[in-house]
Amino acid sequence: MDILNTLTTIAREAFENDDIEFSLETTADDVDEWNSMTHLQLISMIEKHYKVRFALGELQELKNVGEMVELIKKKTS
Amino acid sequence: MLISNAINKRLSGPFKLHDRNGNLLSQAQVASQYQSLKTYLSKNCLGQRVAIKLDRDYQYVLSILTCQELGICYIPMMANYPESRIEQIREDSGFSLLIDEKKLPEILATAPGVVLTPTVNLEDEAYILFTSGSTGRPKGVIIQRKALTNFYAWIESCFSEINSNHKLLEITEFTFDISLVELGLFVFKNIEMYISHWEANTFRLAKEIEDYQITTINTVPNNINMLFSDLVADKANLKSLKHLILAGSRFTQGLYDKCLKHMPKDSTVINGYGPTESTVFSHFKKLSFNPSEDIRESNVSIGKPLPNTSCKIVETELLLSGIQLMKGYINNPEQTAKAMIKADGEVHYKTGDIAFCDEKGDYYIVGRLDDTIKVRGFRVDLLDIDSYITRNPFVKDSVTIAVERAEADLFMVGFIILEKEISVKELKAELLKTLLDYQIPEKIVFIDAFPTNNSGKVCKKTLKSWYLEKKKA
Repeated sequence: MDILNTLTTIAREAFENDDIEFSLETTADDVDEWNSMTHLQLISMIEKHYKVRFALGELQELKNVGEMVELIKKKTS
Repeated sequence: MLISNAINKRLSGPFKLHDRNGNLLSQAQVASQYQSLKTYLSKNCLGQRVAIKLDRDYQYVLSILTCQELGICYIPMMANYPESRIEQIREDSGFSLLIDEKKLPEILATAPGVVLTPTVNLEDEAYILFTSGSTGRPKGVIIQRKALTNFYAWIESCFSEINSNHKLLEITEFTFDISLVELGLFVFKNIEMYISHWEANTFRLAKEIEDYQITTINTVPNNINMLFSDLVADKANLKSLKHLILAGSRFTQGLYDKCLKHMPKDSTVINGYGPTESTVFSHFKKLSFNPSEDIRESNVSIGKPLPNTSCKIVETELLLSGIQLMKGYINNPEQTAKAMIKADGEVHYKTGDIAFCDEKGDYYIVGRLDDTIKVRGFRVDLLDIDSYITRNPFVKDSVTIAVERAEADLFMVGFIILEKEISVKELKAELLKTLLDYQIPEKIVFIDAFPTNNSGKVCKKTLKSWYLEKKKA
């Protein structure tokens, strides 16, 4: 499964919404359940799934799902 | 003249003010904008009401402070307010000027000139804040100059440990009255102010604290709860934090424990309490972090009333009185009469909060008497939300309930009977035309009929159980 599909699966669980469909352009504004609290849950689940640890600086400027995909690629390569 | 003189003194320098990108603004740059604002407003708006709808940056701070200095009643709005809400507020308040991103350049182009000295009376209106009503129309809370003066006097006397060597991260919307704590610390304590652009991203908030070496934060408890979560705190260096001023929703025991873990021993953590109707805070407690002094029956104390404010408990409900009480709701004598009652020769505001008092005179809040909840620190009346939703042509009926996501973090679930076919996404877009984003139920469930109890009322307990079971499945 590619990273985008995996992130969609994780987001569905984090946001408790099976209808979520991520694209590279998706932002927090596009998902009603994506708020400050659920964002923490999403990042925590991504870190556990990929066994990575993001730095604060890496997480502060993420603008969309595409940038998250790039960050995961960088951390897992 | 406490407020006018203090603001004039502060904005005449020296001070340290940063924009939302962290850049330190020069005194000359701020002075020029401040003088233009002052000249324009004193010439055109004395004795009138002014609305402010700007992006959250230092110019919002300057606009508010200039209004406060000149004694002009201001109405703060968020930059994303829908047109319908602005119109409702215009109808209710009759504001003569809207300072928005379009108008601001014209105001700032005003050549600094003669500033007419206003006659400011303590009975005058200081500001009007619109909060959630229960009838599908926001209620405008009128706060008078005497109330704001009393509150600022408390800021000046309470925070003796804060001075110009400290750094404040301003993270509160100006439509939320606890932002007056931040403005007060800037004016009366000359604290260095940074405007945050954290935009609900706790990692960015932590990075700003780390980068700017922030000492002081004033916000709702839940934001600190997230900041001190293991996920964020393990990545960040938050050691610069010395003062937390928290209010606007419940300070939980879980947060109390986190503060014990993350805040240094000589730090100040304040649990503030107060409805908008009593000017930011009516009560506060400097927590000692000795649980026997701070906590009773798992409730963290809100402490004692501010000077010139008093309270009593009548049939478990907390009633407030004193100089900080609102003048009333704008153009709404009926709601004002419901909320403010006269007893023993004094006016009391009925908070709707269930409280108790311990043997030392410290107060504790244990719950609500009505359907009001706090979402991101904003007061939301669930009946108000339903009355907005049911006015939408796609909706036949609506019942909104609150569900707890985590400790003291509530979200709304709207159960809706449709009049006409529409998707959840489309309906939410429809609702955004009349409601603010935090007022729209996070989850919407379409339903054919509401469960009712023996008296025929909608059974909200059943709806909640349905939702939680569905979630588990």
